[in-house]
Amino acid sequence: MRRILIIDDEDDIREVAALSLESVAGWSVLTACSGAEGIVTAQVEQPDAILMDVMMPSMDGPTTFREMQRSPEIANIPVVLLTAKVQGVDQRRFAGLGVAGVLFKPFDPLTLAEQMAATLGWS
Amino acid sequence: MELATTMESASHLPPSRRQSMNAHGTRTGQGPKNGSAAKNAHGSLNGHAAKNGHGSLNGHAAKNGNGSLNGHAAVNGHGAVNGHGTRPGDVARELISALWERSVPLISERLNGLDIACEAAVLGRLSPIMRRGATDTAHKLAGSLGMFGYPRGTDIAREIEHLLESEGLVDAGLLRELVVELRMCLPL
Repeated sequence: MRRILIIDDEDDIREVAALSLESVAGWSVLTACSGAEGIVTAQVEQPDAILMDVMMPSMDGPTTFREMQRSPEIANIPVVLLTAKVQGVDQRRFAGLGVAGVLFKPFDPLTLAEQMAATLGWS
Repeated sequence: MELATTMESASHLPPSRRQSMNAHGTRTGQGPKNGSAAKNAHGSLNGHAAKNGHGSLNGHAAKNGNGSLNGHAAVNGHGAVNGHGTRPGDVARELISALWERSVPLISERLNGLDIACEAAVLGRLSPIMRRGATDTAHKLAGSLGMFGYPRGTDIAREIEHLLESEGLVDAGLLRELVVELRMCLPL
């Protein structure tokens, strides 16, 4: 069973994403409400992939991703960014970070797992 | 708030416009379906998509304290109907509907924040900090409303965000118009 770590400071987004991945795809989900908590959770739990919000207080998604890249035990875990920024300039900036992919808010809870699987190349 | 039951076929309709369910959890027009999403007098949901007084979800699609779902809602990822004759999508829809109900106070609070910013803009007192806060609020609404089945809400919130991000003075009249429209398109 796939194990996904969701990092988002907004409770409603985190909860809908979690139940979507769990109830639609049957994946196991871990959650964290900040970048710092997400890094620790990833180090301890070693999820198969991370779905992370871009805009978070104190440590945003890109900063958290860069911190993860400095940590050898989690640097290889694929990270998918989740953002409500739809402008091309933002998309190019996020893609340039080296993340596995970028998904957009608002997502469709019924197809989120499918989109993640496609982004990560999971069959 | 009516419970959404047909998001798959009308994923971009707000829950209130989808197949309706009355206060007793009975699906209108299709006979009773109690126990799937019944709502008790305390506002909690029981059964397949239950929500208890602590804001957690219990029952056939229960959610534990670690954010994972337990029991009968677990599925194989192939869209198969589980042993209870419930499709995974149905379970997800009911849970999302329950989460919407739980999110209503937060959504209302965010709309109130936009109202305050709007009034400040009308009076010419929208400070940079207040403007930044309202922009963030609009951004959050844009990111979440569509997820709950309100794509029009996302579109309007995004317009508000772009308006607040634009250079120069905010068009207070347009801002007020958009905030009113946003409020009207949500069943709050």
